[in-house]
Amino acid sequence: MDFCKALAAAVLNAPDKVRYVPLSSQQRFPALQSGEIDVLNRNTTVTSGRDAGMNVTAPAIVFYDGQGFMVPKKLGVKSAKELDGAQVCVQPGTSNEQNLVDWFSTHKMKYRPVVIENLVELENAFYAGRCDVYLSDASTLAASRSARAGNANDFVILPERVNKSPLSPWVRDNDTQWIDIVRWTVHAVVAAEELGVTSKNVDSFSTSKDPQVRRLLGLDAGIGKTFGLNEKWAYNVIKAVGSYGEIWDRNVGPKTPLKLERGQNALWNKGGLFYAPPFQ
Amino acid sequence: MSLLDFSFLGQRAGFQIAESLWAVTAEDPYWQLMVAGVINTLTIAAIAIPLATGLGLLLGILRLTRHPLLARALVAVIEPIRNTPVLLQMFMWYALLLQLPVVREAWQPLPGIYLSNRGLALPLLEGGAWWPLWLLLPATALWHWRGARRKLWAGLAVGLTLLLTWGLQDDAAWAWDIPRQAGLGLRGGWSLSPELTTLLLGLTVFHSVFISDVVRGGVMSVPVGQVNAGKALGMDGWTLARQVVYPYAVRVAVPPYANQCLMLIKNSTLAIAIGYQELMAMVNTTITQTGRAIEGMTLAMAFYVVLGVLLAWGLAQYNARVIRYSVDSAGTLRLGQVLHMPRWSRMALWAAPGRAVLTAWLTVGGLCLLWHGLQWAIIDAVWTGRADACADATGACWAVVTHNVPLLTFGTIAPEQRGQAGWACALLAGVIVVLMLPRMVLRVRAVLVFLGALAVVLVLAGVVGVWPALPVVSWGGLLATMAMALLAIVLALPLAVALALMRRSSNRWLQVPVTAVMDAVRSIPLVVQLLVASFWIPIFFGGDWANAKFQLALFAIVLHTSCMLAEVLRGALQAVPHSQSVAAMALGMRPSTVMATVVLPQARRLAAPAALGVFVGAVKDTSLVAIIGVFDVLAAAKTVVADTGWRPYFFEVYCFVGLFYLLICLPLSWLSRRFSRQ
Repeated sequence: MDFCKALAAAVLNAPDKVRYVPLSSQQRFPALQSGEIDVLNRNTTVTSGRDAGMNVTAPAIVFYDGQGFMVPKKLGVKSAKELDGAQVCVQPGTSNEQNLVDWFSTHKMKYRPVVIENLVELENAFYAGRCDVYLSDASTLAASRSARAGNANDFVILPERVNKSPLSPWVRDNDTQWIDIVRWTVHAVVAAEELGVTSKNVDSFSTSKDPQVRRLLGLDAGIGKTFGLNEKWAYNVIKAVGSYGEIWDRNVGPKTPLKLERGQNALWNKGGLFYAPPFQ
Repeated sequence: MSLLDFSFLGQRAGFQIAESLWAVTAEDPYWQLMVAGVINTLTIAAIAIPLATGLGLLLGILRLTRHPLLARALVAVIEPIRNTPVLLQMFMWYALLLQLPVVREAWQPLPGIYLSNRGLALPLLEGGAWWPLWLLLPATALWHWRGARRKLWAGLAVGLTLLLTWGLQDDAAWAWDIPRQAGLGLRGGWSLSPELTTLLLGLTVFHSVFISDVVRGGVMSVPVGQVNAGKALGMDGWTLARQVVYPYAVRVAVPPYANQCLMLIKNSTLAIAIGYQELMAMVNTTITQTGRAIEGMTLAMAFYVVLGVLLAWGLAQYNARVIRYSVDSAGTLRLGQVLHMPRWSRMALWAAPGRAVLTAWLTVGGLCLLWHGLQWAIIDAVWTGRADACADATGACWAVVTHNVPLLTFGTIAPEQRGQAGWACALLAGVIVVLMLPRMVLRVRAVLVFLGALAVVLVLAGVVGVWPALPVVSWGGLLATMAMALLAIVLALPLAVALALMRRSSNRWLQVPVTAVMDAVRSIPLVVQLLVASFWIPIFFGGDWANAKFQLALFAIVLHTSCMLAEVLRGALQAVPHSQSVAAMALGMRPSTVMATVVLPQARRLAAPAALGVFVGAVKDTSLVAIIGVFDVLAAAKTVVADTGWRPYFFEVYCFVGLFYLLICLPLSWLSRRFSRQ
């Protein structure tokens, strides 16, 4: 949602001029293709099939997710490769279940699934010790751990990710200018974090000598024009929603109930995957 | 794409089944996994039916006691089981099983036997785990070695046994596979998962109560004269039971007993909510993976319809045989008319030493239980506060209920609309009370119910009062359950009358399809029907049904209830003597007038007890709607228990839900029995 505001700030300098359209998993792509919505900003994984086959494109990844294993800390398991013979809590009929089969057969290990359709019931069973392992998206695991575990510190999410699940906003293929704007709005908030610019201190950078900051914030003219936007578009974005770090902390970070660590979602120079190309 | 395309059955399934007698892996095609599901369904039936029969037989015989205290104690045990939903009981069992120690601290009552919240692990005789079964076959064969036709079967059984024993020669090396602690849990041996145990416990206990009714009903139908004659011949109790009572009782009991067995198999579909992978769970997973909802549900329904047809055929054969040999004893005095609930009297309680011991034991045990129950439920209970208030309470934590009253009563309705929902709830409760009041003229009752229902609709639609309309999708908790139950009964009644009349119609084009639909609906489990409604209706009609779960569930329940009710009505219509309508016609009445003034009033009276039984079933069945995502009171209870703070107090929450169902179903059941005695 913060990202939608960022886009509105970039284009219209009015972060609240967004019309949100709630969509189900089945409706999301048709709504985008038909032009009912201009950008699809939901937990939508980037895959080749979606990008190539549906006349839509994913301009820039905003969140690196992936299925992971959560285990009670007292099992002493450090890696998902030590899970031979485990009983695994998993929702039936999901891609989680299929990935589970692949993971255990690739690593020549045995497991026994405990499949309960109702998520609440499944999590209850896991926290009651019915299974050794709970498999789901890492972000879901973290959310569940903070909300449902008696003591969140008794559970660890193992470092392995069974699959890659990068999430991105989606736009239509045919509007290249709009694709560029969406892509570089994401890069702008990442770049802001790299440069230490936040929504609170952005005004103090108006006298900055750093050429990168000057170009990003539109103090030296030129960048905005190429997008067909106001020169101060990135400034407006940062003023409205802040840097990537701020967006993270506000929505999913350690101080929110989700208590997510940055992990793969840290900046490249802090061991993560986020890397903003240069604004010049 | 054709409408029906079963080619997906040959594709690799890609998901694994946790436990099955037939070893299949994720690499196997879908059809093999479905067969494994069928085998699991049959496994449940094969274990639960004998257990339920045994327990039911025991309970049924115990209930024949002439001991006043024991008889009442049994009623106190049986009524709560009978009048609460089996799904609730299963959730209770499952939660209790998860309370067992974790696997690393598993109990070890005997070496090699482990009991933990992973289930029960037993040593397994490797190499030919099934040999005891092969011994059973010749034993049965020898037992039946009488009569010409039986010899054939016995010979076949012996032959089969020899063949199998010969086939198993390779595995001659028997070895015990003893479970041991290794790695993350236990390795080896044979284990019974908590999910399967829950299912078996739930089904066994629930159905044993109904089987005990069947047993009791069978005995009660024995003519008194026969028993007296037996006594006059000097038979002792055992001979009397074996030679006189048993042959009579069994004829009466077999059809309802077979129905109970079918009900048990139908109820095994509840596994889907517990997490045991029987047929329905496999079909459901297959559908979510392949999207072949029409094909998947067709297969599931076909299985249950075939099962139902087989049972009906078997029963018809049995009835034909029994009627040929039966003694016509219409109009005789039955045991049921002489044996009532035993009266309190000193004789009955203390006359013989055995009785005295039983009385003393029951009194002491009962008082002990009562005292501890009181202590737990009232004296030491915590009534208000947050979860931490219960932390060091020794009694019940009713705070879990009082603190979550809004969630349990209304679901997730916004606080400003709770007043509206509260009024609706109160009105609904009022309507239900009116429905259950024992002495009331039918017309007054109908008018009151109609007015009450109208008031509920007006309140919820926002016409009356200051509130805006409350959309159906936001109904939750008790409100959803009561609305569902009431709507199901009110809508099913007219539909059932129509169905029953159509089934008895002489028009073949009306009668045949209606009969087929009714029989199919009655043999397909409600869980399957709910899933069919939630999968098929959106496919056939298109549009977005995500917010119409309540309506979809209501559709399935109304259909199910009305078919059950129509069958009851049909029986009653049949029982009205034909001469009555002929006489009325002769008086010059039109057929519709005859139906309305002569036949239906009589049929109504005849059908009342069984119809009330159907209503009780409908109320209990509303608990299943949670499976397709309606937020009913049971779903609300689950949400309460999902909270970390309240998790230890699941027992109290389930007790509260059970009490709610008991309050509705118990008066209905009593009313039903009163009608049947009249």
